[in-house]
Amino acid sequence: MSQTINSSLVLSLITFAYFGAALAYLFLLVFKKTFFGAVGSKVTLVTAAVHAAAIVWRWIESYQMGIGHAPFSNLYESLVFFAWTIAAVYLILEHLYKNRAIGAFVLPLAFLSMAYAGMQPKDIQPLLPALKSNWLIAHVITCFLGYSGFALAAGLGVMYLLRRPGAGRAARTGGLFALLPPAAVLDNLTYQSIVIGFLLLTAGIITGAIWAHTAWGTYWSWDPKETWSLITWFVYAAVLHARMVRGWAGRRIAIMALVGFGCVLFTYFGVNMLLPGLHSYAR
Amino acid sequence: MAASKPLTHRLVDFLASVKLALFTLIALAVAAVGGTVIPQNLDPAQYIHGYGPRLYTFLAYLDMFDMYHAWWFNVLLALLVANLVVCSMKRLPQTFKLTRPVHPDRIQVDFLLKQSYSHSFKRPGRPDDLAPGARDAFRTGFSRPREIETAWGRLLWADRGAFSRFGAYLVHFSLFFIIAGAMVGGASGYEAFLNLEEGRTADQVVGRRPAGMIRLPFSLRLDRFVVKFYDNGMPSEYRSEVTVIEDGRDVHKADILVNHPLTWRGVTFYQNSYGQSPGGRVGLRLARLSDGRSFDLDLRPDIPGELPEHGGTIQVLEVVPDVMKAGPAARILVRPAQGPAYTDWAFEKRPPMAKPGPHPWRIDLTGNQPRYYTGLQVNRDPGVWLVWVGCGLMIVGFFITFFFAHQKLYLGLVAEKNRTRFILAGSTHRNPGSFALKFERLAEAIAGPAFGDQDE
Repeated sequence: MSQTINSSLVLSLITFAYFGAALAYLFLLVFKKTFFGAVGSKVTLVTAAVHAAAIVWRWIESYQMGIGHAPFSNLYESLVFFAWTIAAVYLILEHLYKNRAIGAFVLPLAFLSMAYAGMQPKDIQPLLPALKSNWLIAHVITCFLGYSGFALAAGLGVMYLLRRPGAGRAARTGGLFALLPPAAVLDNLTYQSIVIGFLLLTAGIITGAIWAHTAWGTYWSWDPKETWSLITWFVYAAVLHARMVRGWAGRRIAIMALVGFGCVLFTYFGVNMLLPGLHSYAR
Repeated sequence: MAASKPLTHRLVDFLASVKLALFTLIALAVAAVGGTVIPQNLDPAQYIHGYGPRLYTFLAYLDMFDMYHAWWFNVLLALLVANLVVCSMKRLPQTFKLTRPVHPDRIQVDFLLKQSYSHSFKRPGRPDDLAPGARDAFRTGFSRPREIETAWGRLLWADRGAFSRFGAYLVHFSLFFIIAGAMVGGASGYEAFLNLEEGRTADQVVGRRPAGMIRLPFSLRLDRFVVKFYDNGMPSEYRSEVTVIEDGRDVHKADILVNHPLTWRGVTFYQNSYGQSPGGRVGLRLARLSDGRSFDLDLRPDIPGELPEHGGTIQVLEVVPDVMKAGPAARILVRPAQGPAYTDWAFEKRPPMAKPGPHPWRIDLTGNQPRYYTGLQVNRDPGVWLVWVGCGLMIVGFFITFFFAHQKLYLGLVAEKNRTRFILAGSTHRNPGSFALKFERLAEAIAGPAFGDQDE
């Protein structure tokens, strides 16, 4: 609308910053110069901080418009938040494991989420009565933190599969793969990410159920989005059982991390595009 | 072998098997996908139009149009619950056994060296002199140890987090709570609705599940219904102002809003919809400023009307009994055919200080008889607390399962001439990474700065 600087403009610039960070991490893999890793890391840190500030700014803007509400109310805002959770969770992982090569597989997801957000309507709309609930805020935050855990697991799964391309074949250690963490570490990280994601998805489904109960009087109504989140939950529950009871590890877990993330993506995007239901305001 | 087992044992084995768990989970997932692809609970006519009569008959026979309430879907859920219960009961004794400490008689030097984590080293001095320091390190680094004198030397041992072996049972148990809550709600609760006009009182509601009239243990009167809109025409608030009546007396006044239901004597009222009773109309008179020609409009408050001569649309956002002490007024939203939309007030008696709107009309309120009815969803669900208890238990169960582990630690002190041999050993049933770190730190603390001169 107006040409003045606002939060959406800053958020569009952030999209490019994430692209730059992803590129720097990729250069780190290809050229193996720690310089690129340091650049990627700094850019991600600064971008994530500005990103958080821009989300808060958008929140303030909504109050200045007199229709104040948390910026978690439509597809644009949820994608922006999703991208931020991916970057934030990645930074924690980088700090804990001191490995920057992982960034090449995770930052592109933050960039893609922001780029897709860029194609959505960005206006701050007033809240429909059904969305006026603190449970909604808890629901969105837990769900998207959970989704970012699953996104991280998928990125790590891809890294694992690159490292160990076949069941019988030896691990790749040279070339592009020199800087990747060892397969055993990747396997453990994938599992840990799934655990965190699963815990948060569970909390997200429960807070969603509480919200639905106060808004419509039913905690579960089998609407397509609810049902698909349950299917996603079943898939990851099966993965965790396979690991804890049957001892699955390595390639199988890596593949399941990708299958699970496919379900997450369908729950998030596919349901809105293909199936009708109560979550239609999230279009 | 298998054939020689009694039938009941084979049934128990089947009900406890991982195969059954996988089968029911996959079947439930596939069915659930089906239920999202086929829209649920539409009119039969819509299905026949979409699928044709033959496919319709077939799918209807399988209850695919109300699939989540179909008998076979509930059988699958029951099978999952049976699987969880039988599997848990079968494994529970074994788990209890694992949480009990190993009998000290069984703990020999060999036993210690065979643990998944084991570290052995020698230090000068007798066990009696070295034990207090080792005991302190054990306590600060792990937990207060028990201590005995054995035939081969002195043994300190402790275990922590035995309860974490029950985390998975708690999660499974919580599912049982949730499904039980849903069943209690389905069996003894109801879902109903109530359309209530302003000023009217009702003491019965229309049941949807189960169908039929349901009498309330009290009456409910709608005093006023208010709908508010944002400036862009989106609804901002639906509010039913109600009074609960018991034995002919007003006992409770409340506002029911979306996300803000009223619960009274176990019955909960949710704001669901609203409407205008027939006759509820807002009359507006538009007088053109240029030539004084006037037009009368008769509007329903929630539906935009046409401005004369294709000038755009006009919508009544709300009718307020009193504005600026000038009596009733309607807030209107005008979307001209050209130019931006704007809001304005239309008064019955326009006060002199009211500025005219940016339009070529003088707009007055001529008739105001809005008569709303509110649509309330009315539920009684005595099982819902079970569901919330189940959800809470599930979260607790996950925390126990994922963030705690049953760890056992042993320290043997064996006298050898003028030296003491330390054997630190331990095991964990989960999260080996974090235990390995703890084990290493403890070994360092007990062995002192010279840690590293491993002695096999």
